[in-house]
This record gives sequence, structure tokens and C-alpha cells, in this order.
Amino acid sequence: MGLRGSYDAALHLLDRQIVDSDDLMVAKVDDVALSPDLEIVGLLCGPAVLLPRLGGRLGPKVKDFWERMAPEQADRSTPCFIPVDAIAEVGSEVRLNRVRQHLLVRHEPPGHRLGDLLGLPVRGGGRSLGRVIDVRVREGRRVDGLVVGRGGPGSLLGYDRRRDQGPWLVGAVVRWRHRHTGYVGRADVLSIDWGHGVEVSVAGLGDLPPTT
Amino acid sequence: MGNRADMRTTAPRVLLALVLLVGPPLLAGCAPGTPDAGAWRADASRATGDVRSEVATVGLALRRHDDLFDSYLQTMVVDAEEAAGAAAEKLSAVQPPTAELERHEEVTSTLDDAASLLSEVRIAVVRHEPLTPYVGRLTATADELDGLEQRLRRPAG
Amino acid sequence: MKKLLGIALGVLTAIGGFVDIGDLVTNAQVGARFGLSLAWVVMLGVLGICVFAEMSGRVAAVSGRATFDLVRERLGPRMGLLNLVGSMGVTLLTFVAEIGGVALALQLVTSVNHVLLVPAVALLVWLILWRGRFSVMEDVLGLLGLALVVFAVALVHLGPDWSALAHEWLTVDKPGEESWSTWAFYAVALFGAAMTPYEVFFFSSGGVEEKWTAKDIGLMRANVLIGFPLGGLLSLAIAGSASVVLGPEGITVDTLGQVGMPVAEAFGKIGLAVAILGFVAATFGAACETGLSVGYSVAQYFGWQWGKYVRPDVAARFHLLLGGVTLLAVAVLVTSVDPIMVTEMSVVFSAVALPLTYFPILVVANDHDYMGEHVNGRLANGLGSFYLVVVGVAAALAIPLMIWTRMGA
Repeated sequence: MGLRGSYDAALHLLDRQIVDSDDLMVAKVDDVALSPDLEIVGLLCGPAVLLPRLGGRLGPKVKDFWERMAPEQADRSTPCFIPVDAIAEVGSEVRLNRVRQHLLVRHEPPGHRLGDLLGLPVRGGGRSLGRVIDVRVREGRRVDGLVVGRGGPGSLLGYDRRRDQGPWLVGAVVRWRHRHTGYVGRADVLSIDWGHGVEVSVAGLGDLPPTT
Repeated sequence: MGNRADMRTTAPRVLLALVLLVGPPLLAGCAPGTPDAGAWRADASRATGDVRSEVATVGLALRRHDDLFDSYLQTMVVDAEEAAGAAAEKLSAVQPPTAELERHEEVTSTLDDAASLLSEVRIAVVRHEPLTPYVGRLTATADELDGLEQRLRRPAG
Repeated sequence: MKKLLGIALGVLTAIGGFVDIGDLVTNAQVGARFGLSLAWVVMLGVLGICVFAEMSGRVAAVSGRATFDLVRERLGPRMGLLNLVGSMGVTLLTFVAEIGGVALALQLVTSVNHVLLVPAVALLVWLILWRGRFSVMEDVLGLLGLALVVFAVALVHLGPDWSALAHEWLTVDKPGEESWSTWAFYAVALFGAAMTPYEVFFFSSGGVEEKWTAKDIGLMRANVLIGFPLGGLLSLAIAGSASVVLGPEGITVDTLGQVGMPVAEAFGKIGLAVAILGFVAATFGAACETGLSVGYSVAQYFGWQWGKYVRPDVAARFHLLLGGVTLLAVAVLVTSVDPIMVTEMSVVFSAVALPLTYFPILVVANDHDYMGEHVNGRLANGLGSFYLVVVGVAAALAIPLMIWTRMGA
């Protein structure tokens, strides 16, 4: 099992290169499949998940356009799926434990996409706390809590992990932009209304716990 | 980056601003309007400068033709002839303002003369005729164009 | 000799940034009109590209990830796509122009119209992209491109007034008849060309092609520190020799033939032959560099297998794309559009692509998870931050200046 420790899924997993056991490239991690109780079950790739992530008004439009290019294909909006037990290691690339021949099959397990969770507005105690900008994962695959703030998914760029990460100028700007960014533990999440928002039981955000 | 709600409201505004900024000049470009005297002088001196540069290039190349391959010299002369012709033609298509009618006549005919001199040179180069006689004429033409360019920077009269 | 070939990647990368077809003409143009008063811009650009090429090369050596992987990872699919569109604008237009540029250079020795030469040149470029070994390509084209050193030798031989040249350079002594806005336009154009994004795409992907590891960081640095300054030197030599020979004649340079005149004046036909060899090799090298960069960045955005270190059928989509863009280049060029004009248009796109390319490199080169002990030091970070600001300013100024000065007319 390649997914270990605690990490931020948007920063460490999303958009990484997938490489097979022969060092040949397979695809990008275009999205991550989550089970209904928010556990990582695999990687998703292909236009069906990449295009919606373009975001704004562009995303849905190009996805719609892409599906209409071949309306006879029933599985066109289904991405390709790589199960989590195919992952050997996650570093600067996601390494698989098998070869790429006939690897990708169109399939999407029941549950949710990480990309759909990112960007959702978060409300707590009757006021807006920001948006989900990353998802903290613990023990390799269990969603432990949400990183909430202003800005796009992954916009912390990893500058929350250590104070001395340079260059000073970029670090200072990113930390200033994210001065209101904080953390909501899984236990404090009341409900997730997919496509609309997240309701939490706390009125303020906690500090980001360190990753390992 | 910004949040989505922001993008939604700002995008049309940016688009509108772009249309307002870029639209009128584009529309103005569609019809041959009469430029003011200043704009005409800028166009005319630019065209004269361009042609002078081409004439000077050919002059330099002819003085050095022993150092150049035949094909190299030919290519240079043909390029210069084309560029000079294009510059002269572009200016002659500009509607001159009333104050500059006289000089417009003078400039276009001088540029045409220069362009046809370059054509003569090209014919001589391709036919491998002696080139020395042209060197003097090219220098004289370049000087004439230089003087004209200086005068065109000032208003008529 | 083996050591010399080890730095061919750096040299070939620099050729695409400093002496490709657009730059050959722009350098001579700038030299003839402004003397050496813009020389410091070239030097600023050399240092800037050294800083970021070193970072991207180090990331590639340590992690095996090339630059567009980082762009997609740190900026996400949306901003990554914006960068892809912008940098494709630069790279693809330059690729089209280079194929035309090879044809223009060959026209000087064959006097066959360059439009007729385009299909043959494009076929040859495509065969190299498809079949040629990466190392052979970089060695042959990189070394032959060095024939342009003849411009530096010619400048010395012509015996210019060195103190006057040095004065122009040191005091930014712009000729009186040129306006500062035109001067600024050329400054931004030269700086943008020196730091053009396909250089880091090509350099970092080339490092992956050559299977660099953390042990090769020294070799990578030698590539950077020799290749790019050499490119800058060629650029300055072309400008200097043009300022000596073409400047006094009042010639504004717009063709390749004019660029070669100073060498003909210094060394006659033999020198000119060397210069034309340099033109052909440099434009050909830049064509390979930009063509591959198109393939590299698109494949890295979508996660396809790329590279010439695998058989073409293993990286099928990558090679299909290379064939497609070569056909596109032929289609554009047979309309007899002027290739040199095409490169000038690409300035618009670099305004978008420059900051979006260098920002993620700087961020990842500081990421301990990625780089371990090889993260940026103070020098790389100080210079990197400085250049990020400079690149941002240049990008913001590029389009207004282009409109204001009518592309430096």
C-alpha cells in the first residue's frame, strides 16, 4: 500500500504524474475517488474528471461540449479508475505496482470526487468561513478534516508545512493571503451538501495540525 | 484566482472595457479616413526612412559584391526591392491632407523612383552585368531620401 | 571532446533563446539602431535565464519531473491550461518561424524562394524529431550553431572604436533620434526573448531525456553557466557588428541577408559561408527545440508518455502531436507569411506564459518534500524573487508598449 501518513490531498496527490512499474507514464491524477464515508479508494483520470475541474463557467461548458461530441457513448462521462491497491509509492510521482498495458478501465466507484469537495463554501455558526481549499488525509487514506480559507484549491502551495520554506517573498505573500485560513476536523462537519456547501458545527476555524 | 462569484461579475465588465477600448480604432480602420497632417507626416517619413534603408542596403551590398555569393546578393536585392515597393505602395494608398498635397506628390514620386532604381539593379544583378555604375546612383538616391525624411519631420511651408 | 559534448544541451537551449531566426534579426536591428545601449538588457536576461534554468534542471535531476509537470501540479488544471495556451502561442509560433527561418537561410545560398524550400525543411525537421537520437541532435546542432562565433571574431577584426562601444553600453547611450518608448519596446522584446519559456521546458525535459540524477547537478550547472552566457555573447556580437557596419549606413535590419553583411565585410566569402552555416544550424536547432517543447508541454499537461528516450510507438500521442504541428507549420508558411513577423507576434503570448512558468519552478525548487537537501539556497532564492518581479513587470509592459510604438517602428 503506497498511501502513507498524513498529507494534504490536493497538494500531494492531485495533478501528479502516474508512472507504471516499468517507469512509463500512464496519466495524471485528474481527480481522486472517495468512498461515501470519505476514504480514498482510488485515482480517477481522463477528460470526464479533468474538464469539470477547469472550474468557473468554463469547466461545465467544455465538459458538456466534450460529451456531446459522442452522444452515443454511454460511458463518456465515466472516468478511468485506478484502485488504491495499485499504488506502490507516492513521491514526486505516483508509482504503480503494475504495468500500464490494459490498466485503465472506465469505472467510477460509488461515492464522491475530491474535486467536488474542493471549492465548496463552508458555513458554521451562521456565517461563511471560506471555501474548502484542501483536504487533510490521515493514515494514508482517511479524510481527517478540511483546510478552509480564501483562494483556490491548493493555493497554500505547501507553505503551511514549515516556516522556513523560501523564498521569503513568496512565502510572505502566500501566508498573508492565507492569514484567515484554518482547519475543521472531520468530527465538526455536520453535513456536506454536494454541489452546494459544507455545514460545520463550529463558528471559527482551528489551527492547521502539522503533517507527517 | 479570486472566488467564483467575483469572476462572474468582473468578467463581463472586463470584456465591455476591452470592447470600448479596442472597438473604435478597429472601426476607424475600416474606412479610408483622412488623417491629420501630423499623422501623414509620420507615415511619410517612416516610409521614406524604410526605402532609404533598403537603398542603403543595396548600395552596401554592391560595394561589397566581391565578398558575397551570387545567390546571397540576389536574395538581398530582391528582398530590398520588394520591401521598398511595398513601403512606397502603402504610402501612396494614404489619403493626403490638403495642407500636404504638394509634398505627397513629391514623396510618392521620389519613392517610386527609388523603387524602380532597385528594380534596375536587380535586373543587372541577375544578368551578371557590371554593377559599379549603380553604386553612385544608389548613394545619391539614399542621400536624397535622407534629406526628404528630415524635411518631412517638419510641417509644410 | 566528451566534456564538450556534455554541455551541448545548454548550448542548444540557449540558441533557441538568443539566436533563433527572430532574435538574429532583432539583435542586428537593435545593434544598427541603438548600438550597444541595450546590451545590459541582454546581460540581465542571461542571468535571469541562468537562475531559472538551473532551478528547473535541478528539479528535473532530483525528482525526474520536467517543468510543465510542476506547472500543472502547483497551479492546477485551470491556470495550467492558461499557461499552456500562452506558452503554446509562443512556442508554436516560434516553431513555425524557425522552419521558415531555415528556408530563409538556405535561400541565401540557393536563391530558391524560401516558400518552395519549406516542405523539404519541414520534412527533415520532422524526421529528426521522429527518428533522430536526442544526443546526436543536440551535439550536432549545438556545435554547428557555434559557427555564429564568427560574428564575435568579425567584430574584433573590424576594429571598432572600443571605447565608444563601451561608453554606449555602460552609460545606456541611446541615439538621439530614437525615442525612449521604442527603446523600452526593444528592451522588453530582448528580455522576453532571452527568458522565453520554451527554454526551461526544453532544458528540464532534456535533462529527463538524458536521465540526469542528483549526481549530475554539477554537469547541469556547467550546461547552464556555459550555454546561456555563450548565447548572450553571440547575441551581443551580432548587435555589435551590426552597429559598426550597418549603423553608420542608416540601415534598419529586416532580413537575414543584412544580418550577415558585417561578416562579409570582415572576412569575405569564407566568413560568410561560416555565418550561413551558423544561421542554418541555429534556426534548425531552434526548430527542434521549439517543436519538441510543444510536445513536451502538452504531454506533460495531460500526463501522456513523452520523450525520445523511448521508442516512438511507446510515446505515440507525443509523436503524433509532433507530426501534426509540423504539418501546421507547413500550412502556415506556404501562405508566404514572413517568418520574422511571426516571431514578433509571439511577444504577446509570452506576457501570459512567463510569470505562470517561472512561479511554479521557484515554489517547487523550495519544496523540501520534492527536493530534500537540494532546495534553493539564498542566492537562488534572492535572484529568483528579483527576477519574478522583473518578469512580471516586463509581462505587464509588453502589450501596451507593442501597441504604443507600433512594434518598434
